[in-house]
Amino acid sequence: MRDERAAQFQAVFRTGLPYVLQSLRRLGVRERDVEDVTQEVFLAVYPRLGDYDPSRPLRRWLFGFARRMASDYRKRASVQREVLDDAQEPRDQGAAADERLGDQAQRRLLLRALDALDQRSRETFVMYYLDDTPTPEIAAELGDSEDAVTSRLRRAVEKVTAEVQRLQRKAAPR
Amino acid sequence: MSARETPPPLPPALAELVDAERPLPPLDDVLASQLFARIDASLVDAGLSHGEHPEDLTRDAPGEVLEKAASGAAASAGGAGAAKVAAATSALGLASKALVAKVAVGVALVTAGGVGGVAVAPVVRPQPERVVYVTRTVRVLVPSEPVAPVGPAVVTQPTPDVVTGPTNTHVTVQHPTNTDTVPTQAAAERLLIERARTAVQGERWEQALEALRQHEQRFPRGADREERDALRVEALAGAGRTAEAGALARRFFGQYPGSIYAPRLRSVTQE
Repeated sequence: MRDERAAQFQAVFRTGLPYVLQSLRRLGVRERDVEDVTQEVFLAVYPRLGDYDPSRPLRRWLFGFARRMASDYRKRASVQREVLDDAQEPRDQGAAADERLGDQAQRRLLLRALDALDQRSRETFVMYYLDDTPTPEIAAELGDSEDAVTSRLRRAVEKVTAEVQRLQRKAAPR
Repeated sequence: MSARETPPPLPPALAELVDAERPLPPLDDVLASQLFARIDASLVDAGLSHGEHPEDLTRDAPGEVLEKAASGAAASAGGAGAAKVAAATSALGLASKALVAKVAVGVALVTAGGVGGVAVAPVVRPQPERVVYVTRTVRVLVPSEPVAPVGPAVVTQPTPDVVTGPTNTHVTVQHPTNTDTVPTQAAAERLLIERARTAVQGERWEQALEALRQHEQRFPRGADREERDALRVEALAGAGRTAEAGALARRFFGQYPGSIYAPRLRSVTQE
């Protein structure tokens, strides 16, 4: 039994680690803290292994853990006034300044723009536009109505679009 | 009854950014191994150990270890399958492409008369008399064997005389796309060190010393013995065993002149 559990945990860790790392970054966990929060995620996953339904996508199950840990992290970061401002990540401004952004710069710019969202909107945006999670599942995960999810997505898209433009303007050479 | 509203499509500029962010980045195998060690240590500390301790990972007979590699293991076609390696990836067998490339180097190095490269083949259940473990740094854990530096990502011309293993050495290489587990001696060694380090950081001196004792018992000439000895000094000092820490520190300074751990040890032992 022990071997079975260990094997299950290893499989979940092995399969899910890249996705968890990526999701935490998308959800606003800073690069320097991603490893620590990832550790928290898998420590939370371990005692809940029995809850996993193999007929459902592993990623969506893991996302729930990542979402909650990232949310806790953001609250802590907020309390500690560690939410980064423009001055703390000048590289992103540089990224935004490039007219033809490479993939990496594009990713950084997007993640930076997502910072403009409140955490719930950010989660919704990530689930729908990056993870292709259907709105009914998002609603169930977040305990919202589908209409609320849709409305939040509309506002989020407007806000992120505006933030991308703002960052690009700000970084543009004068 | 009105149709339900749908979320808006992304503007093209934003869609481009989202598309760039979609692909899953490649896994950093070193990071994966370190993270697993930290999680393992935390689970042990919390009494929730998942039970896959380093000593467990290597206690299996080689055949059993290889069996655990299951469907993804592949034999090297270089050298007509003369050698089979239990390719060391990490405790979890997280094989990144880069890692597999490096493992391929290792295979090339120990494959006598190989034809170059590593071909994919179905799993071969070997009956090894001896297993050579190759880590991501192509560290061959066979005494007295010269170790060649990691070469290019793709091996085209093996250099079989760089590493010469015993004649009964068996080599198996993991399939480049396989992510199944191949627990290894090197990974187990590293796990013990990481467990000790985590304990030291948490000022759990006795746990650290126990992990280090296990390491010394299992890997007396292990590749991480310098780090082990440094951690032991620190753990002894932390536990208040200052005389032992001091004596061990003096021996350490003589044994590893210029060690990167020396300043730290001097500060904790006042030596």
